[in-house]
Amino acid sequence: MRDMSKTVPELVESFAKGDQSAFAELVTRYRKKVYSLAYQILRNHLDADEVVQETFVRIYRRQKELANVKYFSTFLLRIATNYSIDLLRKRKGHSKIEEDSSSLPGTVQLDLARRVVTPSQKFESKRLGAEIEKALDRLPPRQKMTAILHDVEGYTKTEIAGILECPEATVRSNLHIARTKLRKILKHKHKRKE
Amino acid sequence: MNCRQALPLLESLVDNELPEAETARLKSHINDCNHCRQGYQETIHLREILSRNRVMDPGPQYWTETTSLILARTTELADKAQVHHLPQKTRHYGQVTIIRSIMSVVASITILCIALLIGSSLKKQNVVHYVKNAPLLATTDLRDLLQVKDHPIYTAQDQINLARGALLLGMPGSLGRFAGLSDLFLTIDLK
Ligand SMILES: [Zn+2]
Repeated sequence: MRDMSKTVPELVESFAKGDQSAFAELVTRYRKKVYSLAYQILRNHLDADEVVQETFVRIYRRQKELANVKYFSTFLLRIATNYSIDLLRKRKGHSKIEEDSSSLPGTVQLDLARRVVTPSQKFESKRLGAEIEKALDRLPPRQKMTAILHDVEGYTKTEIAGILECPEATVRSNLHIARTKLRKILKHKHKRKE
Repeated sequence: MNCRQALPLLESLVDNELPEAETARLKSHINDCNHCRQGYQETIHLREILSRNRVMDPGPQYWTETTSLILARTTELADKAQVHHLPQKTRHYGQVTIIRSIMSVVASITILCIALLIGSSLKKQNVVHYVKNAPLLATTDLRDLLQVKDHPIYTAQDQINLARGALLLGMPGSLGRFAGLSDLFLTIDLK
């Protein structure tokens, strides 16, 4: 049975002491965040799935360390990010697994426009999404990660500094560089279209 | 505020990180400056596109299956960890085993010694007994004696008891000595 009354630090403490149900609850609470982040980096379901499983198995292996972890989500996302980047490097050079969203199991779009959109707007949004994905892929991993974590996943700069293990100033500068590059790419595309 | 001051703050404005007063000053500059306004609008546009670029949820069935898989893998890990602790226990058991085997060897030696002692004392007693009753154990002597049926010292029963006793005790060479036992019994007049 799920223990929804407990806070994350309480669950982490219980799990560090060996409570298996606390671990299950942590998996349930964080699995989507890990999947979403991994998918943003790797762009395919199979790899994102691998990251989800491996991240939680790694967390489990470091059960005893968790007693000294201040921010669980940062710790967890750091593991997920590092593993995703490892996979990304491994995949580079290999043919990229192109994936159509329809191949996903029971796909439900989490956030397809909260406002009502016309088909043309929807198409435009999808096209821009694809463009931005390509543009993101052209960025160096740290810049890509920073942009994804901040502008897509909505983490704060402090959280990102914790996840990427770097000073907040680095997060700021990487985000700025990434945004500048992305803006340039988008602008270039628009100009070509016009 | 001029462009040089404004430009580095544009992203902070988009990210809602500026204090009220600074936000107001920056916004008024953006209103007046095309260049900065363009930069601001582009950044907002980019953030919008990026924030819309959310991942598809793979659905509840996927989550159920994946969570079960994770829990199965971690349970396996926990089991392995327990097995991992075993060598320590085995080492502990190993010590006990060594002590036990030493003890059992000592016990076996003790039992053997006691058995030998008892055995030898029994033999001695019996031998003494039979020797007392029948000092001649050699078959040849026996045969010689038996040929003299009315030998005063050895009755037939004496001879049978002597042979049985020697066999029962498993005295060394008893079979050899009584190799002609069947003959002996045949020749002995049991009456
Ligand atoms: Zn300006």
